[in-house]
Amino acid sequence: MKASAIPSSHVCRRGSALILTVVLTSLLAMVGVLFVMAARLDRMATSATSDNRQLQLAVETVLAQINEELVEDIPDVGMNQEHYDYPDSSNAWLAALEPDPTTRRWPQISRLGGAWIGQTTDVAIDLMGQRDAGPARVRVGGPADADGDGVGDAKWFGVSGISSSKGKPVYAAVRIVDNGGMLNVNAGFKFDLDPNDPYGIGVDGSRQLQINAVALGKRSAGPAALLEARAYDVTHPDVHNLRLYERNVIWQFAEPAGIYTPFDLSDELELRYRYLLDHRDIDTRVEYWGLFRGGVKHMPYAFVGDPLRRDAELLDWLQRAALDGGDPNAYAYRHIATTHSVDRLIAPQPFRDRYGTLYETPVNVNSANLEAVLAAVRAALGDDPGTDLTAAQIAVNLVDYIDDDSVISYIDLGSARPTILGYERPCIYISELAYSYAVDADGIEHRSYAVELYKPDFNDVDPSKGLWRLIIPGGPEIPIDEWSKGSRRFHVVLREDPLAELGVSFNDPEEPQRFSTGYDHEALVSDTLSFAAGDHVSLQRKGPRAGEWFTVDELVVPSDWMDDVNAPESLERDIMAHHCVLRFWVDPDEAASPTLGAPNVYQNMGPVSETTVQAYPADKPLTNIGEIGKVFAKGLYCRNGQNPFGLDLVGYTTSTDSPPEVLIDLANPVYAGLLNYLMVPLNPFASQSAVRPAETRIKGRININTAPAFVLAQLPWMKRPWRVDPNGNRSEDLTIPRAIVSYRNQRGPFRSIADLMQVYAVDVLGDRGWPMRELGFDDRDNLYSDVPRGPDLSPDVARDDMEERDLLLTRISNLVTLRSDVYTAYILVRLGADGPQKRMVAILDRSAVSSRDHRVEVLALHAVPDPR
Amino acid sequence: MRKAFTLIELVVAIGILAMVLSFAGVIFQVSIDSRRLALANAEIMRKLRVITDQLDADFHQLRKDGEIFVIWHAERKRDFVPPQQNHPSAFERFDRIMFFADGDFETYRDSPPWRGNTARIGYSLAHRLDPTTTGIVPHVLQEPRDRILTRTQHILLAPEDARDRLEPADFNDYDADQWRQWNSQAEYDHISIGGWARIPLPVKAHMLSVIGDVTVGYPASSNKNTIAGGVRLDPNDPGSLHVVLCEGVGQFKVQGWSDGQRRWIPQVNPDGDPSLDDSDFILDGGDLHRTNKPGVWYAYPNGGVVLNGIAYPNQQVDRAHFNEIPGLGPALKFTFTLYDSQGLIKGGKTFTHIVYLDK
Repeated sequence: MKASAIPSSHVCRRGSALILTVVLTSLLAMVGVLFVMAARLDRMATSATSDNRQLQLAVETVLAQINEELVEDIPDVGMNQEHYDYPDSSNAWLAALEPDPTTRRWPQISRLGGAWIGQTTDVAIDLMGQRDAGPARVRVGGPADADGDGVGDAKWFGVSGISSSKGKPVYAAVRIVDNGGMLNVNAGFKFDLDPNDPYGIGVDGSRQLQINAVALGKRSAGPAALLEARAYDVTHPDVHNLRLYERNVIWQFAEPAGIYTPFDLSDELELRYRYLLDHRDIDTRVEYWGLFRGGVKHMPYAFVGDPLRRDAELLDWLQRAALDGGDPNAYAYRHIATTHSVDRLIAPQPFRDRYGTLYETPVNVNSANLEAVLAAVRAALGDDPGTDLTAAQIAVNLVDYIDDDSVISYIDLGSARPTILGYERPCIYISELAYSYAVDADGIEHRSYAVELYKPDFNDVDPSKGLWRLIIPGGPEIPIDEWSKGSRRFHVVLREDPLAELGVSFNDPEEPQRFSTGYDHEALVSDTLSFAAGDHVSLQRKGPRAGEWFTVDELVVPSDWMDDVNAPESLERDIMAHHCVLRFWVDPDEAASPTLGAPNVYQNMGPVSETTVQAYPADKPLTNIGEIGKVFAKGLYCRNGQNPFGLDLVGYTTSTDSPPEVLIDLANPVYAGLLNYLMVPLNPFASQSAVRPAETRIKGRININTAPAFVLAQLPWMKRPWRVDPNGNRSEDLTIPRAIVSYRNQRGPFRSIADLMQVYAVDVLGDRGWPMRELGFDDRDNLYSDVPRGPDLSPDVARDDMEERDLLLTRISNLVTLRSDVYTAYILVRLGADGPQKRMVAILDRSAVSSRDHRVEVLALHAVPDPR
Repeated sequence: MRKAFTLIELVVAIGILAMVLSFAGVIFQVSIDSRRLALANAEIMRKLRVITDQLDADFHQLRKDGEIFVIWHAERKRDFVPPQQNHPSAFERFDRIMFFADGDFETYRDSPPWRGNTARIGYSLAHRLDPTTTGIVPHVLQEPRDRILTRTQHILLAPEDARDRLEPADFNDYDADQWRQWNSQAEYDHISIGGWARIPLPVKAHMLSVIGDVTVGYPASSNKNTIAGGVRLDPNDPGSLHVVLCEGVGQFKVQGWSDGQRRWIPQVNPDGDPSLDDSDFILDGGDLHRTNKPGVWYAYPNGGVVLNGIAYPNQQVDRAHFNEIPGLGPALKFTFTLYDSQGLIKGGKTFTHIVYLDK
């Protein structure tokens, strides 16, 4: 071979191979990188699907834990469960709805299943930003933002029992709030004192519609706007028919009927979204109607490093989260509005009556039989043997106060114990004792005696024959059968000697025309009537059992009263309607002429405001359960004039009984439990076939243990609209609601609605402190003509008495609750300390749960949309 | 002498080469087919996941306070074997279902998209507009592998929203074809879930007839236009594409579990014998009725159940009796036959998927 044979052109330049190698290597490297990237993308895609499923599994696990907490918390399901839902150690799962703006801390955040997450009460609030503050890594017990508004409201905990497919732990943060603490925009309507109110829903606290949901409406919109927002066809006349709305929506537990389309779950999910943030791209019907879009935030609060800026951000959040934190115009009303809140009537503990019948719900005082009422009262007062007689007395008084018959209820506690008697109509009192003594010229003594009987209420029908009598020791019984003698209210039993005349004249100026007929205006003459100093003059009525007589009124003839000669003497009782029972008698030393057959001269003897109680039972159903405060806690009758068991009877054993001592004093903690075991049905359609009578669920009541001040203020009368400030403006202040919130923050939960009586409020108008029970006082006589009207809707002429003392409580007693059955749970789960996370909101309803086998109904489990 | 191959050598070499090449070709062909089949299977599995994930998401948040409307539609396959014409396998289903669900929904076409928490959702196989003839090709006349499963999603927007759009409540003002267009193409309804329930019945009948692609006879006869029903896809109209959930879905069957009968309802031929006497479908002369179709419309008082041989009281089509309603009940079973886009898997693959409604 010849080297020269190789053409010169084929000679390679030095380094070509190296270039070729480099190029090929680069190409290979690029291909390799692309391959690795493709593989990585593929893995990421697969991993995202897998992560999503694991996160969903974690959410389900957390939801199961929440379910367990909610079920276990129900009285009668869990062991010794408390009868209230308030964020405290007994309800560690429940978070406070609003922060405390003064301390800038959460009173309580949620803790599930006893997981260790450190302190969960009085927790400092800090900004978290979109995901986490500072290093984006979870640590158990570290701060978390469960609801997604950018502000810390929970703590991370490890979800036990599950881990990610890569072996990493799963973390969760949960915030559970009570929908019962929010204002229900479907159940409420408005509170209007105008007697010419075209909607005519009343102001007596008997209907949820009187809760002022209009307060959440746009300021420019009136009440009609709310009604129209809740209806399909706004031109339909039924839109403004509140009775139909109540029936088809508020008391309808299937789907709403009629023309009405109340706000629904879509609205609820938007209101709940991220606590107080508004989703910019989702507009629901409730937002068009309400104050939910003005000045709201759309993006979570961002974490900022600068402490000053962070403080400003936090302050801004506090103004939106708590009304007391600042400006009403900045307040985010969405977090205290709900479309779905329900609680149910449930007794703190199941109880049985004397025949073994089991009760699990409070007893309806308006319709229950005596045994059921007795069982409920006994359950409320406790098992202490000392309360046994009190319980029986309250039970019979309650039944006789409400029923419209004239049969005395009684409870026989056995031969060795007293028979407990109710206080029943007709109510008749001894109103005057008259005596005249004269000696004629022949030295013959002449004596006349008279006993005047008084029936305060014109509406009380006269008794039948054989049911009433006068008993004076030493003399025969004097039957009182001829009730047509005298006048409608006054009857006089008379033994008169013409020479010692007493002068009977039936003249009742207050007597309405319709009651003036049928009476002969003559005294009921008795030949045997006679009494002497020290005698017990007893008025007795026949009992329900044969041979039994009960003393209903009694007077001991004063020792020196009958000493005067030649002048008729009269001993008069204060017959003012609300004093009758209390036995205010004129001083025997004061000279008085008889007024037999006419109203007494002496009236209004006691201090008006403190000593006024009923003169007769109402004989009609209670409107609010708080009205039991008008009922006697003590007895008024004793058996046949005897009181061998030493019962503490009103006006019989003592004449100094004050109303708080003789009535069921709701301010007395002893009686507070009655409101947990007794109830007045709110449902006006309960007796109608279309609505299940056994239904115990109630929509839209407000939980006084969780509601913020603004929500409480929308209850009837809570803003004291009858009070007028020095400038002549009606009061719209939040004095009472704020006092209620302050009270429970300091003293813990309300365990009975009656605990509201212990609240002490500072009256901003009067610039002084008042116990809440006196905030109902209005210095007026409570006539219908009062403008503006006060909470006392009955013209009883007793100004600021005990009835009015209780009125604020009474008016709201049917519309508030201590517990709730609907909750919102914000759930945040994360795979690993810094892995992917998912945010869900769940609306949970436990109103159908009555045993551990039941599950809480998940009304919605909704992925929280990203903020835009 | 120059060396050369003999003829024999050449023939042998060529033969060996041909054998090797043909062998390699077969192997190559098998490999290619296997790969194509694997890809086709993967495609079907992807389609399966898309459909089942969507069904899970939608039915997990089913609103039982909203209406549910199902029409069951069975047709005999065109390739059935004559003696087996009544065998269950001789039929395919074109069921459709409409319901309401919660979720985080957003529209596809609008920019920025509209979003909402509640939507009216419909599943059905689509009719198609033939771009060459501009005629309608109903789903039953399409080749199974050409059929398309659609999912319509109408976000419920607040009535107060003043944007210009067709409202279900205004259906009286529109003819059925316009409503069909709205139902197929729009992505929102200008109404609340309660408002939908209160649409006057005559109007509702028209609307349901379009949604269900049937003539609704109760409570008032609808005026269904024969070409108006169902979801129609126009390949040339991008506005209708957002409803496409999955291509190559040969049939779509919806059945509800019946605790009472211990079976899924409805079935064309429950006992599988040659007779259709026990069919849940409406019969006419021993065969399926050509036009009358069974269905369920929930809830009371307007709803009801129409099935052959199953009488169910109208007043129990409510939430309290939901688990007993024939065709709904505690769980729904979806059956669909999926085809790959290349047509490699003849007859497709049939899958079932169960969603539980008893949450």
